[in-house]
Amino acid sequence: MAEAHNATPEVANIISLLHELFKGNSIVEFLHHNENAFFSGLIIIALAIFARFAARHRAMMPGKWQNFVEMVMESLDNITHGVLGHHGRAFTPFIGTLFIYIFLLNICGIIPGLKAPSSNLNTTVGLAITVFFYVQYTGIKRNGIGGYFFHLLGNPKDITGYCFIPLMFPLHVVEEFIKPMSLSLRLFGNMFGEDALIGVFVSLGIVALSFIGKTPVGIPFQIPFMLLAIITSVIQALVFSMLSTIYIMTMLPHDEEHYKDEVEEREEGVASWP
Amino acid sequence: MNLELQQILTQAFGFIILLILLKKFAWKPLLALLDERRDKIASEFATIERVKTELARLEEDYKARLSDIDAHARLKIQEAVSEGQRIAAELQEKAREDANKTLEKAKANIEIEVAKARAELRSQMTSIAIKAAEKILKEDLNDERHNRLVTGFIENVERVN
Repeated sequence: MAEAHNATPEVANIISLLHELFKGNSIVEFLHHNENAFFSGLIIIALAIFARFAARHRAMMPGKWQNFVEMVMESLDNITHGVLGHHGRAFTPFIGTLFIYIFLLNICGIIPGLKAPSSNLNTTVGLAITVFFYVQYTGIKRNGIGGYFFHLLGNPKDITGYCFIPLMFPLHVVEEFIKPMSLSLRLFGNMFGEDALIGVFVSLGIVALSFIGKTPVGIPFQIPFMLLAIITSVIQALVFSMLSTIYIMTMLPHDEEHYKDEVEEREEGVASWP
Repeated sequence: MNLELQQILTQAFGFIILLILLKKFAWKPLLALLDERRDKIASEFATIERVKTELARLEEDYKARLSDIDAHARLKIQEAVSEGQRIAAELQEKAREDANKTLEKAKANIEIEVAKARAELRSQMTSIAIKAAEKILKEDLNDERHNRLVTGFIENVERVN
């Protein structure tokens, strides 16, 4: 067991073990200080290699691995398309990558020797800031700079709308900044809580056997919470990516004619509702 | 837990690199493959539908043709039967005529033969009568001898007949 700075119990990982063994070593100290970035980097490398492998060996008649990869990608594409309609395909890579990456960040928390980087606020803030800039970039790109500011003014259509500009503008600006904050805090809170819970129950398992002296293992009380963590990892990744999709949707131009067409398409069963 | 700008930027930068890599190596090629496969399946379904329609049309066409062929064959058979009946009637008529001709010819031949036989008989009778007269004239006739000659003559005539 390793203790975090604020004394929250945390399950040991490779870096924390190295830190215990080689205290004072500059490389180990550096790694320990940046352990979240280190584990995020590992995930990025693994994902990039896997993606390269999957894309290189793609075939019209898929094998079981390609089937699995395609199933994941198509599901994410469907979700994005379901929310954003005909705009969806352009945002599938961003939303899909976000989901897969966050899921792997989360799931690392239950793999022995690794740590969930998403249980660190720096990681979730980094991701939320990326989403924030991507959403603003999308808004400017799709609406134009004038349309973007018009959106921030609350899309006024009549005199009442224009009267509310002094209220709506600061409200929208604050809302845009609150969005990444809520995203990052939600993910961090859930994953940190989950890791802390697992850490506490690992400690409890060790303490439960302390009456027979020093034991190499404890009672694995944390197993039910690890199973729960699998579900939480998926849900939190989905929540983060779905909210990001919705933030993008709010920035897209509201073409009423197109919306009508889309509603008709969905009612006819050509497209599915999100 | 402190916020560190360096770590935040590292995480954001890491994600952007991952996004670029996945977009290039996974999302674009694999989504393109999915679209290609979807289009291919759609086009193959369209082709199957087209072929099915064409097959149905051909089946109807063949059925119509078979029906025509059937009717044509029935007509041909009827024509052949009529022709056969006509030929049979002609042959029968001809055979009848031939038989009549043969019969007529046979009758004529018989009459000729009968006439010839009668003429020959008459000639033989004349010759016999002459011979008998010669014998009577050459020999001395008595009643008994006379009777025997006449009886012999009569027997000869009967045998000839």
